[in-house]
Amino acid sequence: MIIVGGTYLEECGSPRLAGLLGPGLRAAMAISNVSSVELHTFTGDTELADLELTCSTFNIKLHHRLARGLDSSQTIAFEYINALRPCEISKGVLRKAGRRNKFKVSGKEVLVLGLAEGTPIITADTVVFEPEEEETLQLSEFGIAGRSKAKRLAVIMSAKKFRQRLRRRPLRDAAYRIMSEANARVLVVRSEFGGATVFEDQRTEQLVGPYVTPNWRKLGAGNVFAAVFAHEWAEKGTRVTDAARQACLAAALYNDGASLPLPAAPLLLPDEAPYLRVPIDREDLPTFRVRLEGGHFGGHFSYASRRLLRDAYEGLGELFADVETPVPVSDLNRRPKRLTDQYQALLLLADFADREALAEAQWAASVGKPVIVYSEAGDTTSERIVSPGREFSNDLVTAIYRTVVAARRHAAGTGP
Amino acid sequence: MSGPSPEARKRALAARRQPGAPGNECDLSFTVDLAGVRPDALRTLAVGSTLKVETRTHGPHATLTCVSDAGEVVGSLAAFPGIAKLLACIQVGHRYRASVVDVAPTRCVVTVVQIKP
Repeated sequence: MIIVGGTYLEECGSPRLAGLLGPGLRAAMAISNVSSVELHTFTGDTELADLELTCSTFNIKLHHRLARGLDSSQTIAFEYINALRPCEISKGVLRKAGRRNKFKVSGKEVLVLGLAEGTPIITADTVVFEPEEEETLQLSEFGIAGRSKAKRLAVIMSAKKFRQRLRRRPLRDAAYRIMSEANARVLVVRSEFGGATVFEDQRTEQLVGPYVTPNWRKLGAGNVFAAVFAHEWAEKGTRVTDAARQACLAAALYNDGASLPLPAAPLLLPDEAPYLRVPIDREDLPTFRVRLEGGHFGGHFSYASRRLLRDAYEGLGELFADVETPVPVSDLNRRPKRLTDQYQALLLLADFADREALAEAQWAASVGKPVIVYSEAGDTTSERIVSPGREFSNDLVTAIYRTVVAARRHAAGTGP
Repeated sequence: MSGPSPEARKRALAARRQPGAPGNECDLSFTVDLAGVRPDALRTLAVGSTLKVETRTHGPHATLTCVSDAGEVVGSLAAFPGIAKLLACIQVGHRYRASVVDVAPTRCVVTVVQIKP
């Protein structure tokens, strides 16, 4: 498998991650136990030896390029406060350089992932292509007038990006429009939770996964999904929905914390495996409400608590939760929601919880509502106070994810 | 006004000295996820377990692995900035150990530090 994609320094506060990864190198590592991988990527001089050593550790054949128009001594760094917030990086310079650095890649099976520093021109029998937010290679490049050619093409797209292209069209119409633009046989739309909706040959539409996991790494799960999908569908000839199912499973294992490369043995489900159906269109998702508690002491914020509260509030919203909180949300530039006792789960920010927050969490647990306790400091005092019916996490993004999973299960009557 | 003695201050500064500072290029320290973790080898590990950092020959290349006291390979050191420098330091005779700071059925996080002579 030829993989074209970026190698970047990545750092994330929650879940904790720091490394030399990026879409290309992560995808290459993911399938290096099951595929003979060739990686086409860019990196700065300072990290070239690190990249070479990493590739040789996993038998990845490296084709390295230096980016013209950028500082060639530096590798691009992506820093995230948490995995639910976008990276703050100036993309203007990158985009300009990326469009200037054109290079050709040809082979039998090619996976094309996010690459800021260059624009590949692809010629291959089978291509799997995932356009990123700020892609340099456009979908239309695979169309009739484009310079990239593939006999068979599958496009993978995040649900967020897909929704931007919906423009009130029915899902299928939007999907087939994208497939026509790129001359693609398959479109796989990846949901926020790691599942996917598969559109094939303008005939079928199928929802697969996602699998629920105890932990949620999120950052990079899409790269692992794409790598496994490409290996299954393009290299092994697996049916498209089965390939997508394997990709969901791989993403779940990675989200739960599995190290890369993934094992060569058949992938096994994490301990907690039931599906959590996630339709693409938010309108089709049953509404569910989450109570967010903690974050202020009797109306007084600290800088840290304000930041945490904002990130938790916005993170829950990113995962479609209808959030209510007693904290003065005008501070968060949001319209306050009326407090109810009709919420399906409660997230307690225990490091900043006052007596009232703890009392609400205790009440919720006593009436059988799921309570998720988040404490970065790992202080389990609140965990003991709010018992039973609570989960504990010292990672914010995992706590947000678990709250949403618990709320949706509670709303559907399938959870505690 | 009393403060720390010059000797104590010197010790504190030395303790806070950044790894890789001039004249100290092999005083490296990293906290990283092990790659290619072997789940079987994780079963006997706990937070605080110590692993040896060893080089292995992999075709024409040397790679870095973490090995348990029982001699089992737990996983590889890879995919972080400074890994090539770590290998170069080991190849000129510096020694390092890895302490397990987090362990799960398919994951192991270690802090690698130099073993001072």
